[in-house]
Amino acid sequence: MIKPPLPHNEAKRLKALRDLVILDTPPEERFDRISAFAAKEFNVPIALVSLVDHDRQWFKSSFGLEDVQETPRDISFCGHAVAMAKTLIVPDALADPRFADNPMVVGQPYVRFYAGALLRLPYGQVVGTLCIMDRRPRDFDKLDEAILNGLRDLVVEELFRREEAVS
Amino acid sequence: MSAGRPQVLLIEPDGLVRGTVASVCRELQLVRLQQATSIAQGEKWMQSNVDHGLLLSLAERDAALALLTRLRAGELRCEVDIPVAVMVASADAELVVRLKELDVRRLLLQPFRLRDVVHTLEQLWPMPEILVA
Repeated sequence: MIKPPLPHNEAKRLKALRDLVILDTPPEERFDRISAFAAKEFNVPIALVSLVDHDRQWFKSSFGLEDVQETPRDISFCGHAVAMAKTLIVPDALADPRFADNPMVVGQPYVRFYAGALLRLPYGQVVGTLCIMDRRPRDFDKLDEAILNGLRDLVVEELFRREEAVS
Repeated sequence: MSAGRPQVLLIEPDGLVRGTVASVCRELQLVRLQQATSIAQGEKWMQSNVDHGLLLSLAERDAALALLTRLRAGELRCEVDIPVAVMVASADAELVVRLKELDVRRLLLQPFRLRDVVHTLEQLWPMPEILVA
């Protein structure tokens, strides 16, 4: 397994995440609705609004992983997406050296497919992903990516709606 | 239709569907999508703008059918024969007949996937070849 590298702007990124004042807040319907919609649209068992914190990924919404609120960052797929600064698509995790022996691949929830669209705030910082996971390998075409990005845009809007309300 | 991208009005109260379809159209450079959240808002738009197509939710069923009737009667600024696609939760025989009378080209029954909506947009309002090349 290859641990996700840190982005070059990690300190600013973490500050932007903390400024959202959203970590460890209760689930909210407006985010759960988007993750449920994504799971249905792509016919996948898992869809998450994942925020990549200093040493964990914390789920603001977790469709299909309701009993899991966070996982260590160093085993997270989303950590890789945030470091790459672009949509991460893993068609088959067992065939990808970054993830082949990842505990989330060889154990629960047995992830084989992953696609994560970046939650990029308007001032440039990437705080996490809207991601979907499947327990079987699959293809993901350009239209799938555009739809995931479209749903991701709605998550970012909601993140900012909250920030505006708090500030 | 002009040489530019076709302009299509989407009347859909569900912000999740509306916002995502609009975002996909922008990213893939499909139709120029105008958005309305209600029939009243959509009709106001159509009274002063010329659209090349209409993608219409039947959430407000009676108002939506009345709008379509006015469109086909030439009471709005667009051409009377523009392609129209409809999204609806369920459709009985009476509704299907009415939609045929109103020359609705495509019926999307919920729960549909956004992928189906985008394919409908691509098929009913294809890009001019000069923009595809």
